[in-house]
Amino acid sequence: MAKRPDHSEKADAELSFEDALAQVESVIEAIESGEIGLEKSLTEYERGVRLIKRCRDVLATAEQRIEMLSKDLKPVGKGEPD
Amino acid sequence: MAAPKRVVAPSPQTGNVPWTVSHLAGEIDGALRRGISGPVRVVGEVSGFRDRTHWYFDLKDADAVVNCVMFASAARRVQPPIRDGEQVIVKGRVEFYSKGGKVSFILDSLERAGEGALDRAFRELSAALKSQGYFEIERKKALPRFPKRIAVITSRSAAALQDVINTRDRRCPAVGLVLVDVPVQGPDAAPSIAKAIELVSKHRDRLGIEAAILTRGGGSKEDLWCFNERAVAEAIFRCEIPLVAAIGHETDTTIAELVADERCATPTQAAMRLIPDKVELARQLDSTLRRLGSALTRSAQTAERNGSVLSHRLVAGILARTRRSQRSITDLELRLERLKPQAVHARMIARLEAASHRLHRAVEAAADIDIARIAAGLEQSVRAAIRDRLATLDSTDKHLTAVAPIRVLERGFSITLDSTGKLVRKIGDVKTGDRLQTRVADGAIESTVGGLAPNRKPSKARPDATQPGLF
Repeated sequence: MAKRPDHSEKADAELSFEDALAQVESVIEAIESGEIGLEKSLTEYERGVRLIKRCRDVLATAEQRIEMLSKDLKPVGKGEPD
Repeated sequence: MAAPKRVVAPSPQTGNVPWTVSHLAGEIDGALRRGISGPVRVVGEVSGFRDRTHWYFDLKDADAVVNCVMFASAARRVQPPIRDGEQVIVKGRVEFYSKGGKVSFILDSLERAGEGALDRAFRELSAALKSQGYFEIERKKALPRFPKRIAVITSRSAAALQDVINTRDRRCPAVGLVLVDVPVQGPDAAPSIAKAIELVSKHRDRLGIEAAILTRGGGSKEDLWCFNERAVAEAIFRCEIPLVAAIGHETDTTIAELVADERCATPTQAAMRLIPDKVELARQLDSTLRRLGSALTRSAQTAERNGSVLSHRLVAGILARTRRSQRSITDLELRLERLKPQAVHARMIARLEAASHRLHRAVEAAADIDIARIAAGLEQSVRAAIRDRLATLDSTDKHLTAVAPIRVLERGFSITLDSTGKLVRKIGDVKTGDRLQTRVADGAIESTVGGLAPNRKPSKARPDATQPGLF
């Protein structure tokens, strides 16, 4: 019980694609290791499903505009979105 | 038609009037212009180079020296500046500089001859940077798998930029691009590029930039030279985010590319290296979801084998909850579809659905096996119990039917049955001529109904009054 990373739904929903995928990998490992009980496996499984959904959300993000970095370092949209 | 006044026809000296110095100078200039008409190309070695806005140097070979002047407007095009000892090929006109009394070669252009200074400068700088560890593989940063935003450092008018944008649109429009517009050739290019890299690195968090592409299309060695400048190399070396470089054609190698975390042959390849293919990623997510499902199924099976008492309930719980997960994934799919109705998404969703179903079935199967086993056990024990009770009932019944009526008959009562074996209870059950069988204690008496004689006072309340208290 050294540290307890934040695995709340809110925290998971803010993970980057890469981080979320890495978390799913560790969830799979934890379940496969058999060291956690079935009950814990179930909650971990649900978290894994949630993280995969998070990844799909990232994938489905709407088309991003091409921005230009202005002189004062503010990215500005190059034309309005469609 | 430069200086037409001085281009005078040969005017042989007449009489004893001496020429002025100016006149002689004019004559020399005219003679030179007539004698060496038009631009000439000369190869030689640079010596005594002086940069005084305009360039002044001597061009020499083993036996001769000529003064050269290159005005700033022409000198600006030569990158990097020449140095003493370089072999150059110059093009220009010969003039007599009357104020200095010297013949000067006025240069319009200058190119390096053979393996000249550019190659040497490249060799020297790359050797120096190599010794400082600039090219070490160990210090190169890993590229992110899914950068949310990428800085594209190039000229906004470059074809390279369009290649990057097209690749982004094709592979994953969710990745944002931030163009950092810089000149990609000429004397301002190197400092601008270096500054752009520094700014992107410094403000990466605020700008949300996770990687950078430094790119430029093909060009001459001189055009690409800015990417061989130390300032650019140092900026890339210090850059805190992964940088992919694709400069010029595949055959060109620049120092910027050697220092970069990854080198690509073309702008398109650089973009592909950093921008993931969303179809590929969706496939990967499917397989991850499958693995997750089978991990849980195996975990449940193991618990089952180990005879966990609670596991039946848990497996049922897994079943219920995976159904819920399935539903929420379906909701998500619907949302996805509304968001992006393209074919790619349709394929992604179909795959996701298939994977979800497989997962669902796998878990369900695991749960079903379990429940079937319990049910089979239960059924067996219930069957056994029922069999026991049936057997008991049966023997009781036999006992009753066998024993009880006989005692009654022994007491003198009898039972009358009609021809179909039905018990005769009242005269309405039979009619004259019917065959009857009357059972007594030791056998049966066959008879025929001769007549019917109802009681005088039939009572509905006690229809069996003639045989009261049989049992």
